[in-house]
Amino acid sequence: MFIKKTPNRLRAVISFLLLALFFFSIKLILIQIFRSDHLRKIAQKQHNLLLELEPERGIIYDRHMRPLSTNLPAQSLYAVPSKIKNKNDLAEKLARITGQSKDSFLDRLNRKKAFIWLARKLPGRQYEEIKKINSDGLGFRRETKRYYPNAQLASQIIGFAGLDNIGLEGIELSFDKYLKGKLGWCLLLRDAKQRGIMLEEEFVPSQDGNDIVLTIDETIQFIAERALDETFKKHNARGATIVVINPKTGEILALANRPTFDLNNFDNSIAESHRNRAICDFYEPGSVFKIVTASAALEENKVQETDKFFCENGSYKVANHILHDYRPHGTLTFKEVMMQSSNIGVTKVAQILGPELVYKYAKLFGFGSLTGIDLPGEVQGQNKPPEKWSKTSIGAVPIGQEVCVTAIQLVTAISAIANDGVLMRPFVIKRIQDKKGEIIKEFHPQEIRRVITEKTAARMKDILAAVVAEGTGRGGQIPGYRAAGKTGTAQKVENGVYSHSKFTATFMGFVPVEDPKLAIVVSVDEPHPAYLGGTVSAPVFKRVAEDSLKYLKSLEEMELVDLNENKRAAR
Amino acid sequence: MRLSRFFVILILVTMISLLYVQMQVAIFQSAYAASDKESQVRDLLDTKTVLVYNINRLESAQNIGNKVLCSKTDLQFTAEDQIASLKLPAQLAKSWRVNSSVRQSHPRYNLFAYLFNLGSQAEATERIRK
Repeated sequence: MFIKKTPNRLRAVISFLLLALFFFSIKLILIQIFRSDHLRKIAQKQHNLLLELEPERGIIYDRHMRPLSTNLPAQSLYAVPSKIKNKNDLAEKLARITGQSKDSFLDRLNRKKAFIWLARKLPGRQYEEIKKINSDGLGFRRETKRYYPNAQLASQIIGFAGLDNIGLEGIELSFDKYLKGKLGWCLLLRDAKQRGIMLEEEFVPSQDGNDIVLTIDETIQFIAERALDETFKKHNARGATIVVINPKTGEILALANRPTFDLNNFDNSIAESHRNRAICDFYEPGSVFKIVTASAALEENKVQETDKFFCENGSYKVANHILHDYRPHGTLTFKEVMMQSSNIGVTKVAQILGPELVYKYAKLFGFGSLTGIDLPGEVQGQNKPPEKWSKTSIGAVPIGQEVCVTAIQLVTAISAIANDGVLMRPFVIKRIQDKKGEIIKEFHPQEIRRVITEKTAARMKDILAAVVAEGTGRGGQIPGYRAAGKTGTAQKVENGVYSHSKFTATFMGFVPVEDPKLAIVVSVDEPHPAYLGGTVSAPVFKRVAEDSLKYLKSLEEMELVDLNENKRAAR
Repeated sequence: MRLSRFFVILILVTMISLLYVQMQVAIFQSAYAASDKESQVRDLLDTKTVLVYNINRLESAQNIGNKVLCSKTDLQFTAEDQIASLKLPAQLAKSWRVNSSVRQSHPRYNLFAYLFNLGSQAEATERIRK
């Protein structure tokens, strides 16, 4: 009855309701169809947390699986500037704890950003102290930091990784793609306080980096570094290098340079100490290069050990240049020429050979080419072809002048003689394996070429053994073992002329002669006051070889004991 | 529909809804607990990593070598001629091995203690050192 009496009002109300319904429907269509993607993204951002899963960087091991690098957890401090009440006070506290300047903290806290890093990968003590501050707007994020338990051992080989665990030098750089692994991620739910909850919506696991096993022996590396360190300090040298290699396989057992640096503190070290001098620095080798001339002469049957050479009593004219011996000699046999390291005697041998053959054998021994070692930054040195020789070059190149070599080339060359005439490629990486121990890549000894025959190699071994037993290399004698080697004392070039006060003292050799286990080159840059290779470098060879042989012998005996115990247990 | 049936359905639906909410809450509580546990496990693993690193550092050739040789001693690796190895007569060595293995397989025990003791006895056994 009421409705019949007021039909217009009813129509108005219904129209109003229909209109409202229409507008609500439009709004719903707008929200659910046209803006759905945008709103879904906002909702996902609010409800979900994308967490990056950092992979563990691969470990670098020595040949006996002793870790040379590792990863440790480290806390990094971040701030949300808008939530910090007293920035000045906070900056002062952080500056006091970390030792950084207050202004740098204040500058970062005043930035108009939602998230800023204040300090990355804090040491443990600093983290504990900063935690006590308990300020709003501060938080910690767990990261991993690269650490090296041996500090400066093999520093130039291993290299280091930077703040974001990216390799910057050495093996950390050149094998970064194997070591770094792959980032994973997972999508977690967030609660009302924006904290992530352990309910994964999606999950992609991280892939840890692969481990690298080197040919380096940690103990021999320590022996080599200790001996090198003492000589470097004792002779006030500018630089020093030692390389220890297995001559039969080319495996580098130790490689060290001075100056060096602590891998855990690389950002406070000088750039010069990062240089791997053994492969990056070339220099005129001096008399150690005479092994090339001697090997060529024997291989080509141009001389015999007993052939006599008149050494001009220490002064010999070659073209317009006077060549001198360190000590004047009269007539020497070829073997004695090498034992006494007579420049004149070797020059006369080279004059018999001719430039082409000297150049050919220098090339065969690997000088002037890359050795192919698996470390970054190798240089090839210089070996001039005969057409570029001057008239005086015949009195220079065969005795190790006008030719530039690296320490790694020298040790590879002497290893060829130790290895019965076969040149091997030097290498440092033994294998790459994943975290389960499965091998990804393995590297084996690689023959480059035969340089001289086995017979010539045996004759050279005999001559070089005489150098150590009775010649200039007496400082390299090792009790109980027969060692072979060659000394070298090279004048450095200063302002285009050979200096009389700056030398490079080198000794290279191998031991035992009968069955060489080690080949070693020691090179000391600008030692003083003593500067001869036989005085400065040969004792380093002796010390390193002696201790390394004892160590290797004890290793063999331990393996024998293990073998016998296993046999007994099996019975 | 009868009113009573309506109320029964209403109560059932309400209870199922409440159960669902309760389960969701339990899931989230478990998730929080799991997060806490995960954080504890991670802390323990981190502590273990640091300890292993410290052990490696102490065991390293660099550390041991520097500590042992820091006072410029004459310590050096032993040479072959500085090691003496002793050979036992075969009969003596054999009987020594037999006796030690017998002792290991039949440990002595006190019958009185064995009968009236709840736990087992700890006993040091002889080891042959190489």
